[in-house]
Amino acid sequence: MTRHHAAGAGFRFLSDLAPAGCLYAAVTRSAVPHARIVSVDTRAALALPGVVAVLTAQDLCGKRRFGMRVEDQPVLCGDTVRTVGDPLAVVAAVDASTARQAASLVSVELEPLAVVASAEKALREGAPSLHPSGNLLHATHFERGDLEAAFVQCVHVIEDEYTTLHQAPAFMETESALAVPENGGITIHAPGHWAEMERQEIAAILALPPDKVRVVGSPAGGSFGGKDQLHAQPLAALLAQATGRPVRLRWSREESFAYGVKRHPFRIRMRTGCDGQGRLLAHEVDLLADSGAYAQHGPEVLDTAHENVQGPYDFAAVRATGRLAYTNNGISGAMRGFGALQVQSALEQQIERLAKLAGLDPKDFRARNLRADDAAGQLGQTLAAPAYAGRALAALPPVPAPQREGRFLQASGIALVEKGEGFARGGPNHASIWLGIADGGRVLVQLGLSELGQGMAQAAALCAEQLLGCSRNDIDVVLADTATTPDSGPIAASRGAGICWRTVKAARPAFTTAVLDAAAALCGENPDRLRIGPGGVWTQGANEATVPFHALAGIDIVMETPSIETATGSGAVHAIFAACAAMATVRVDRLTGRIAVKHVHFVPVTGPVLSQAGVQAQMEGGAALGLGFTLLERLEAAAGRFSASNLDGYLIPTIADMGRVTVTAVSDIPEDGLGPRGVGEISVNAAAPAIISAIHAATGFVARQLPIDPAQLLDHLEANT
Amino acid sequence: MMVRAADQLDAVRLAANGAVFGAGLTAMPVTNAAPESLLVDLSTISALRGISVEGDTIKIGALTTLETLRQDTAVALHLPELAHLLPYVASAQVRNRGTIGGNIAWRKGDLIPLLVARGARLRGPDLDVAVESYESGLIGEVLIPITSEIGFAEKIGHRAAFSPPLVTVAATVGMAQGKIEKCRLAIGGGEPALRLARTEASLAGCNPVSIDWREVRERIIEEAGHGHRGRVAAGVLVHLLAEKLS
Repeated sequence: MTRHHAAGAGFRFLSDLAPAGCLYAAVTRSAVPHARIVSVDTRAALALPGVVAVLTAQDLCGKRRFGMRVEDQPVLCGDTVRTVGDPLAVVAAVDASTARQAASLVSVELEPLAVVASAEKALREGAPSLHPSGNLLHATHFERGDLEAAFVQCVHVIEDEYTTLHQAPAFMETESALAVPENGGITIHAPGHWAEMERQEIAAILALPPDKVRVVGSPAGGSFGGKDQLHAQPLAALLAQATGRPVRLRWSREESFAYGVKRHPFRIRMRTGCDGQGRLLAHEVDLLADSGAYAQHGPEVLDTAHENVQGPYDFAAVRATGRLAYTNNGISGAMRGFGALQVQSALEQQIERLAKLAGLDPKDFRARNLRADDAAGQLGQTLAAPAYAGRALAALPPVPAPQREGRFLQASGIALVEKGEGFARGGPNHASIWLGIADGGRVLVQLGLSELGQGMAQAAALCAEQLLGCSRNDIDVVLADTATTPDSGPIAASRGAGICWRTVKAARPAFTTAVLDAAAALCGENPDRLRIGPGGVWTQGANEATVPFHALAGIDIVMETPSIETATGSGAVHAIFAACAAMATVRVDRLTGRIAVKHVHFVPVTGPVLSQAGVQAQMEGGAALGLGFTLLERLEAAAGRFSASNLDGYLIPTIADMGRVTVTAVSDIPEDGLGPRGVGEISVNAAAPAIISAIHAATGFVARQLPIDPAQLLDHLEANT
Repeated sequence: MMVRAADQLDAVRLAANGAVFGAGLTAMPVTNAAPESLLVDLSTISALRGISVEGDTIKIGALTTLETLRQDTAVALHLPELAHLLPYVASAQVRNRGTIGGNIAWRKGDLIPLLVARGARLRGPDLDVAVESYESGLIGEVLIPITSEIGFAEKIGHRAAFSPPLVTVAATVGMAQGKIEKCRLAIGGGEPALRLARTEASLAGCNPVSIDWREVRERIIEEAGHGHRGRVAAGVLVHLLAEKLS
């Protein structure tokens, strides 16, 4: 997935769609991070010419809070605001400027409450409780072996604390939705990750039966997880329901920064030790994460962090604890590589530092500490297949020696990570596909998975081409429309490509039999002498299709794949993991502390590759996101307010910041029925620690706070020269 | 509200009642400035555009865009350090609208240290000052001496392109008989420019071979500030001075 997604022919941003009679929505939002709502007066807004409707929490007649796992986020706030940007009222008007003016005319009286400014403060005794359940949203715990006895045997121990900040998705198109009343219900066009779940939630908010709501994905603008849960859809849908007219709502960039979801900030404490031969013995970890005002995917993020604190390494003894707290710092949520990225950036530094203490090459140190391919997962869970981390590590090129060139220090460093794919512990892993041949002979591949700019449509077409035997020119892909596609589960957790592959493969026997039988009946051949090929069904030895697809219209196959469920150990989230090694080369300016990433080389374990170009694109996009997380994207929360509200104050990498990105995929792994491993996230996970390792190799700097502050790096350089 | 000026005198007349001059208007979104006062649109005053070489001076109309400067052959020939600096100033889109006059008039522009180091002057209907002395008034043209002195400039940003500056540094050094005859050092970018007069004075008359650059660095930090910005400015200036004068 790339932030620099190119607009193709016929491409339209959702924000550019405005059906006839369309109304424009604007939201009155809280300007303070925590307050009791005394009153919301809409009279002045309603009196403004051009205003058609103004809704507040009092107008809600369906579900008042949403959230995929924990329903704690108000559709419209009624009694309390918990973050800057919390919605208090929403306006529909004949044009956007009238809507904005009306939203500003909604008179709101708020009584400020004490701000819970950090996860640490949230969990202190006496802290204001942000939700009835308290501020502790989720906790994790895992132990294996006798930790203190293992530390006694350690010759080298590194103990440190690492922190990460919020990271904004910074997608091109902000959170947007178009809601259209039609056929006695509401159709919502919006970017999202799981159309069926969104339909269920929106229907509950509208107090409508689910069959009166249709959700159509909007294939543009990027998400990076930021549109994983409901965003602009509920308020647009409520206004469309209230007015009977189409309503579009697009968040401004400022709204997106204040109220859109961000990557969770983590405070990570690690104490890690090895013996004199560099054998890892003991690992103690404590995590504290900031969920912001609402749960969103926070519990899954902490679970993912928890299951990744050991990396691909085999420790004799482990103790890992984690807590996730509500605060008034915006809203944390899903973001590409979530949970794992933060702890991998810390763990790989522990590994690099221990390797140095043990006098071992970083690659050798990692190699001698890997879990075996057939071992259980990090938390003792049974894995569906090995991750093959050792193969990724072994395929890394030799690490060049550091160089000094004038004012610059250049060095390379490596990282090795694993990343879970899909879901365990009850899913949602299910996925259905509809395969068929439409009138006119188009082979239809219908999946509920979403296109968000990451190339889902191309992946689906490639799966169908490679597994069914027809040509890409024969295939139409329909994605993420609850009226025309089945529920394929969410496009999340790097599962898209694998789900495509598995669903098409599962449907293939029935589809092939149906197609060949129908063709045999038409041409009189024995089905055994027929095969599906470009354009239709081919007889052995023929040089063109014997029965073209258009003669076979009407064949429909519905197929659901089995979930990948395995026995899981305590707290384990995933049963499928992919591994990725990376080597980054950086150039550090000794005079300024500025860091340039010259090259990132990835070695992902992919299994069968659908598209080399697709893998390359995902790796490049992930490298950019990992680079931003490591070096540039600084979003600090002070007393519940973010330090930036736009892309002029929040600097994401430009193309000039990007070094060369190269990929050597490990594709020849044993057939395991799982198909291609997802590469949507693991490039982020691998890039960040590899860049940090390279900086460490160049300077000896320990990145205790991410993103790295050049001022701190310059201090380090001056103190060590 | 915006009103279009017919010529420079008209612009000055319109601005007499507290109106502000508007050139490329690229600073407005960055500073979130929506001027409540009248905005005088200068964009149609053609006399404010253009680059010419007259004797030992290069004259640049205030409305000349940064991108025009970046692509100009006379600039490349006579002001190579400006040509070197411009790719790091804003982005191509902003350079296409942003002007040299605007860069100077908003007081924090990346070009100012270089112009100060070069000893550039500003002229307008009621203006004739050195760049470093500019406070307000309509800038008509920027006059930059063409010299054989050693000049350089560098912007240190937060990312590789389209970045706000941490600091921009510039220097011009005239040599005579192996010694520094005169030099002008300036820092700016993101903040009003500062000329490093004491450091300049301490370098005058020195043979570069015998200069203790660590001392120079400390002297610059004294003038530029002990924070990260001042230390970076000092480190880069000293490095470039030592490199160019060796």
